[in-house]
Amino acid sequence: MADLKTNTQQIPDELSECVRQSVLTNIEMMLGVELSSRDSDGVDLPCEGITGIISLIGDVSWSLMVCLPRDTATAVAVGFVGFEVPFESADMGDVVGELANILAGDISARLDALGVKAALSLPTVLRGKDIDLLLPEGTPSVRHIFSSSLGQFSVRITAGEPSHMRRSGE
Amino acid sequence: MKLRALVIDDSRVMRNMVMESLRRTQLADFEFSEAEDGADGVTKFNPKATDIVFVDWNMPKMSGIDFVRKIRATHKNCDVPIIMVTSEKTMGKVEEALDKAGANAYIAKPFTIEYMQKKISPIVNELEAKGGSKQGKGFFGKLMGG
Repeated sequence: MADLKTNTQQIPDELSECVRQSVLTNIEMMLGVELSSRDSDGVDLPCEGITGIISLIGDVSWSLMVCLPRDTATAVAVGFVGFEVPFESADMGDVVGELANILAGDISARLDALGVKAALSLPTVLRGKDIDLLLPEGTPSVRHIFSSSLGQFSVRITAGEPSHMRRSGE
Repeated sequence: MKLRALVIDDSRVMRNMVMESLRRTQLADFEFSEAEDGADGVTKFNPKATDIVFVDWNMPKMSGIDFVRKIRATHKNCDVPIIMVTSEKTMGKVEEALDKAGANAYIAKPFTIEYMQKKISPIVNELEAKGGSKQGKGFFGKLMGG
């Protein structure tokens, strides 16, 4: 498991799989829908929507980004809380933040079982079109795209914390 | 049985989900008050008017675990049960909450109604054995001539 803690050149396969399994298990449980997943192969999911970002900090520093296009976010929110949540509302931010929090909590527990300790940051939620973090060149990153009857969404894991990442224009 | 529950979470949506889930367990006639973080929870916690507390872990200003520590340290004779409802589910976190800080139960998110019912049921039964809410106990006591 040393590789999980020390590999800064790429996102370890174990972590990538950990994230994929966590999303499949938790989303299917919470929303009662069947999910399929695929690697993005470097192609981003076009996203005018909402993104939840949370960091895992400890033995490792990784950030998790959950990006839901507008229609998917609206459908997921209904499944999550049981009633309609307007996309522009503060409640939508709560839903996506909580979703990121639940996924990160589960990933943290899975990593803990592998001997990797990592605490969670508070989630940050951003709404907009094609939100992305501009990472320093060579920063390892893996993105999974998930599909269900509620629509598509993506989950990305990136080495480093958001404060260490470049923002657009820097 | 009537139970006055304080629900502490920085997410309004999650507070509503916890309250709705508790109603659906049908374990008690819950009457809710809400707090937005641990610090707000400390302000709103009244041992004489609170029967049970549900608190998130990961919150701004004051975390759930610090709320538990604060309440247990400042209300030493208070036996109001505190239940952590959190996405933090590593064994270390569970032990920290239950063994060190003094929480009474731990509910990992995401949860189902059945899971919540199973976790809360023994605590509600214990409260029922003690006579339900403090307000209810007084009223019941008056009815019984106490």
